[in-house]
Amino acid sequence: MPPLARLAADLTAKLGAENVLTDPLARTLYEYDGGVDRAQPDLVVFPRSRDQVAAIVRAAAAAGVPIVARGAGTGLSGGAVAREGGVVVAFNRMRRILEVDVENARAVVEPGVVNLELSQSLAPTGFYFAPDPSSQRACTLGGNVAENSGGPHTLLHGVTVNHVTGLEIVLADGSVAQLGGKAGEALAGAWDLTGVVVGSEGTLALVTAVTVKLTRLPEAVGTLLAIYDQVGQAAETVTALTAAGITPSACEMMDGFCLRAIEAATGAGYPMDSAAVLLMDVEGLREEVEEDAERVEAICRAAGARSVRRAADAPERELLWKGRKNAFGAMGRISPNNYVMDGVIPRTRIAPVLEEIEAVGRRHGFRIGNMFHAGDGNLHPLVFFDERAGELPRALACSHDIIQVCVAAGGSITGEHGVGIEKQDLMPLIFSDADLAYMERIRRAFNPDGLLNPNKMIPQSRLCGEIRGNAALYREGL
Amino acid sequence: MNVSAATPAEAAACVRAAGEAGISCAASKCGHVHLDLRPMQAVRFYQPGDLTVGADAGLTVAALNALLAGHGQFVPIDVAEPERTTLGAVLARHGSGPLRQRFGTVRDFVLGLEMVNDRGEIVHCGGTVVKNVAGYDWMKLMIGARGALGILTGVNFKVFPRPQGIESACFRGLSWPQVEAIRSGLLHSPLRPLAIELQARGGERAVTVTYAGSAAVRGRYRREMSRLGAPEITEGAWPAATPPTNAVYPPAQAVAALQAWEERHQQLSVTGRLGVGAFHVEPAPPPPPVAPAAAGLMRRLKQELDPGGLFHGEDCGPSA
Repeated sequence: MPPLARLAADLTAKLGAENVLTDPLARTLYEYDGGVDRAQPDLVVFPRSRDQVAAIVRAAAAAGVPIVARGAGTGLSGGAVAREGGVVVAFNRMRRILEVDVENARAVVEPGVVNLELSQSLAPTGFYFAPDPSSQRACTLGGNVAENSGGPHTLLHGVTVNHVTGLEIVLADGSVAQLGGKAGEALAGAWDLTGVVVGSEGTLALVTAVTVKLTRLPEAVGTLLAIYDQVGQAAETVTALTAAGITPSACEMMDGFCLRAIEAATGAGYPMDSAAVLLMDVEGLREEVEEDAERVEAICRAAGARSVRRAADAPERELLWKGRKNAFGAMGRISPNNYVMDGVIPRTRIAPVLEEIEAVGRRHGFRIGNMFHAGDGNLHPLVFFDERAGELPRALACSHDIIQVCVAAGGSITGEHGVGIEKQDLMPLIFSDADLAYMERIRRAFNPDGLLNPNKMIPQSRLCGEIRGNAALYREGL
Repeated sequence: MNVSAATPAEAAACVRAAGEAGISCAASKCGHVHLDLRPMQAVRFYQPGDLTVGADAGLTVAALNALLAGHGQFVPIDVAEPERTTLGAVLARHGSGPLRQRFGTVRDFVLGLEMVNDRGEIVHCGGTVVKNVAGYDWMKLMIGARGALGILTGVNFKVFPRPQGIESACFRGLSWPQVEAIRSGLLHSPLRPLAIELQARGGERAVTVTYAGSAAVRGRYRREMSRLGAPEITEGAWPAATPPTNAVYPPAQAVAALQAWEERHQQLSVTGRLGVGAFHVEPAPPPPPVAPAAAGLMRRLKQELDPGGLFHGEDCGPSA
């Protein structure tokens, strides 16, 4: 029996047929994530426990078959795409909250727990899980850990790695390791293995439980919408807020072009005739929020905002944020396809970089929209294109040029979506050969046979021992 | 043997030479070659508008904060001797001070790291911007590894606005249950103190809560503090650095653990972060064992990243 068939039979016996997908049509549902890359896995399995995950990894490793972990498939960089074939380990059926320990401000969760559902179930305790990616209604904690996810409110609270104190992982040989725990820090001499695994994009281990830090819900939140006739004024506001020592809990910019589509779709109350808006939250004690909201409003006006609205109550807050949270879904009004990019620049360079990005778009023949985390310089340019008109290769080329602009401005190739497949070939823009070789050595220490999510993140030419499966890689042009 | 390096390239050359000679090398006094990085004190960049700064590992904490103070900014690193303690030492030892409560440890605000590895190569992790997920976050591994995997030569930090209007509330003469009540009371409150420090010596226990803000905000804190007890308020008191952490507990179990340790030893001195569960305790409790699988991973990393055992790390004691 060929190794894959034997593996399928073995896993069917161990997990039950209802937890193993072999049918080709069913497997096509798992060939893509939220990005542009696709590849069909040979098998999809749905473990329900850590021990099952360990058994899957042992069996796949023995068969020399790649292993690709998958959460909700909302990732945008191809992290869950089985580009070398193999077994996709989907964690949707491991979705229990194992423990909530409010006194220690910790919870222990299985990786399939949905981000927003965790915070919602915690609400009665007065605590929540702070990282809030835009996809939080669907994305899972395991995915958040793999990509070190961010979101609008990470400006104040930090990203996923700042909110994880422990992990239970299954290593490439099927062994289980407990990293960290509930304590808030380790003693010197104890290495921060948790910190290295977070953001490792499924290439070092499979995560089977996450110990998260809980954050106290703020007493008060002030939400402001500042409306500008020039993008540069909005960008200048971000700089001025920093200079004034104010840290909003969120500071999102949306340009006029996107706003019109968002408003048509959501009715959030956004202007139809502005160049850009800033949507900002300030949070803390009632006294702090009052003061900060006043100062923020003054700074916005000084920078040229034509109006500043402050949400009067929670329903109005939610409406203003509804527009932002549903923004990406509204983009279908503009074009059949859009490519949501992810790049980072120093926030002091927002205005000139946005102009350069627009110029890049014109050069390639695309309109670029911008909706992004202005507060920390994390850009999300949207390239609007039509795949059926064969525009995908040109859109990808445009996106590569945009990333070059970000790097030239002193930024990075990814702020929160990860490298995955999408940015793998761009790593040499910011890392030297020695840097990439060092990362490869770290991967080898965890994953000596290279079977965990192969051919991701580190450029192919760096990798030894390529694993070839029977992948069907869908990628035009580039 | 003492060698000093004024640039990362010199440090790298030294490491390569030590490697070829088969002798150990460290930035502390623990290697056969003591690599003194104090001449490396350059500030590589400082962007006040972006809240980012990058510097050589030999720069002292005091010098860095003096630079940042000019723009009303700082890095929340507490050490007993900031004029003598280098950034490299802070990272290698992963120290934690009182401001940990609000700002986290250095692990939470390092943006990028430069290091000389076992092959004498200068390698980089992270970058210069506050949000970045490109590549492995191996700087997390180096922070607190006490030099066991390489020689740190440069670091980029996220910096913070320096809090204005600092004040502290000190609760004295507390029983252990009262200490725990203050900890839990603060946890469940919307207050966000800069520091929650416990000091216990010879049966005397005190908790000092430090906070900052406008007069209105401070007034609010004072009202909340008076609900927790009868504290003495001191204006302008920046919390002092403390001896290094040698005991960590889940925060809600810390008081019980300290109380039990005190009952065993009668004489107990504790200073540290009540809200976090990280203390300096004398006599020092035994460090918790590293879980076997995690220890195995550490061994594999050491074997992969320093197979020649070039870096002994700082197991023989601290130095600048």
